Amino acid sequence: MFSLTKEEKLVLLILGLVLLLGTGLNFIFKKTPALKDIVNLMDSQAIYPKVDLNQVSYVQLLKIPYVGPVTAKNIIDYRRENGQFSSLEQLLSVPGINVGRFKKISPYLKVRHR
Amino acid sequence: MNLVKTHRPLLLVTVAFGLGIFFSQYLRLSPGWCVFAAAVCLFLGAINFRHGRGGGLFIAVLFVVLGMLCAREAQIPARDHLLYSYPRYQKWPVRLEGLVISDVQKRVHFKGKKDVFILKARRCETKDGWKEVSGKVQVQIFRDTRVCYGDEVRLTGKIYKPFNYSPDEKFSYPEYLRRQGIYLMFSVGRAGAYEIMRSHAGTGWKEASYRLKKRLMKIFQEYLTPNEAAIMIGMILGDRYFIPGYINELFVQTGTSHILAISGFNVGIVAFIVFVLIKVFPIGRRWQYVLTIAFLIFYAFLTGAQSSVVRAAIMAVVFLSSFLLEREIEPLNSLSLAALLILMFRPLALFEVGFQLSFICVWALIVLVPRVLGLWPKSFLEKESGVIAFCIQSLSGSATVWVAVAGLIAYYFQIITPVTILANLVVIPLSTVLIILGFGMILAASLMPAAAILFALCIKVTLNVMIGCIYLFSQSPWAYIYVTAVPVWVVGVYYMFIFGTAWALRKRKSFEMPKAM
Repeated sequence: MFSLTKEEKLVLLILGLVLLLGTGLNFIFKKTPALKDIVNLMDSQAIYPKVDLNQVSYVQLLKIPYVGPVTAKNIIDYRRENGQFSSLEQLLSVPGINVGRFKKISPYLKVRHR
Repeated sequence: MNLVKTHRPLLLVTVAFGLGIFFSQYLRLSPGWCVFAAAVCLFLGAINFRHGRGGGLFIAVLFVVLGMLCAREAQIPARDHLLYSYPRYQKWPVRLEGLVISDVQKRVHFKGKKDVFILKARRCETKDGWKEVSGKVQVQIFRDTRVCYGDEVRLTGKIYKPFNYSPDEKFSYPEYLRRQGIYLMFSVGRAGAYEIMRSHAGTGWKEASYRLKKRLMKIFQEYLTPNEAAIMIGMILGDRYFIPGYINELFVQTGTSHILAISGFNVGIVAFIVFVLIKVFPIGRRWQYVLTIAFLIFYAFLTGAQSSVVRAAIMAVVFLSSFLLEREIEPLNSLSLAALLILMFRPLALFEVGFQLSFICVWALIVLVPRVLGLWPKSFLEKESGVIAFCIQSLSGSATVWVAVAGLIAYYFQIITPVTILANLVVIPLSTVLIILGFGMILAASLMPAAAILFALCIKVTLNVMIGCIYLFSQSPWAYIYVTAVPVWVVGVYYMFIFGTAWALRKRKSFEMPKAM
């Protein structure tokens, strides 16, 4: 009865491990629902890929959601005329970027100080 | 089974055939000339049959010419092609009838939902009335419809040639569609109409596989959040269009996008899972191999028969068949067979980035990695060295494959991602776990739905840990460098250097890779 083949043992062990972990996680998430939100990184703005505003090119800017050709050109022109950005908020001085648009695009940008 | 160095006739044939397809883009020889040149080569090959190198040379040239011929033939639309009925943009709505020959993708665009599919045109309305036509059209219906594979539909909308919308100069959308034999697009807007005239007119098994795919998608969407489901669907079923742009970008920046598509790696894991599960049942060894092969072929069709899946499936099938036929395998020959079969059916696949990356990556794994590992002192790689041997093998393997694909990635995506070498060491084991859990969840949801929730929770944690790691890798200094447009000649020189290195290392003793199964 206990003489299982190598493959049978492997399948059963993986199944047992998943059931154990799954039940454990279910219990933890029920007890502390806040933990579920912490684990759920994929829906959070924290993991948006951030590009350096002082390095980003026109083509890379176009890949950012809510940034079209005109805005991208304005950002590049602003950087050329005024030098490097010292903070993200400086984007508000770029023509065509209002508070609403700033809120939408800022999670995708960062300013790396040199 | 030992991997014995043997004769590789298919390598010569595939390289020659591929060169022919490549030349066809620059030498505009007419099909008539190609047929004449092929006949001459065939004749010279036949009369030099007994001469060793002479006969082989003519056969190689014959396949170069055949490659050119196949590529030219694939680019010539039929005489009754829809393209000749509508050579330009039609200002007024037109009516078109045909058969839906692809899966219907339910996409979201900025104004709402749209359904996208490929239609095999049969009849179209012209000034002179209805006319029999042929050719494929990419259709977009800007609403949620009930159209599915195998439906015969009548559409009212606008027909036009595809245009290039991408700011990226390296990617041309019209060219991408042309390589799939699609020269026209058809949009059914708000004012347009569609009518399903007949259902189930497609191939039975294809319809069943699409229906199964939809059911499997629903399982992921039911138990996971939309973003988690999107990644799992990409990894297991090959549909990437649900993955949000910002997550896709993270994978691009860390050079780990390969795990989002179904690659040889995924197919290998699937083959392993199926083989281990089948082994649990009391059936003979031969039947275990036959069933695994059958499942892999089915899986390749289920996932839309993309180049990487077909390549991996062919290689796995050849590998498993070698046990059935009790013949030794030669990996490079199997790889060549896979490439040749794909190119014979779709010659223009040679110019697709997925095809190029898939084959260069496997070539590096088969040829370059063992030779690079052979440069290390043998004592470092022996089992006794434990962790050191594992680290050397993993890092050297990851770095060698990265170097092999870096030229193409820099050319097509204008990015160099040194962080890939380290990221792969974390991402590949985690994605292996995810694929196993994904298949486990599908089985559990079908047999005992209560257990599927437990699988879903394990997937949730593993997936978020993986995404967190990828994010950290992408934010590390020098993780990736965007480069300006890389000229094609630079890529050519780069690959000459890579192939030259592989050639120079051929006489050194290669490291014998561990057995796969």
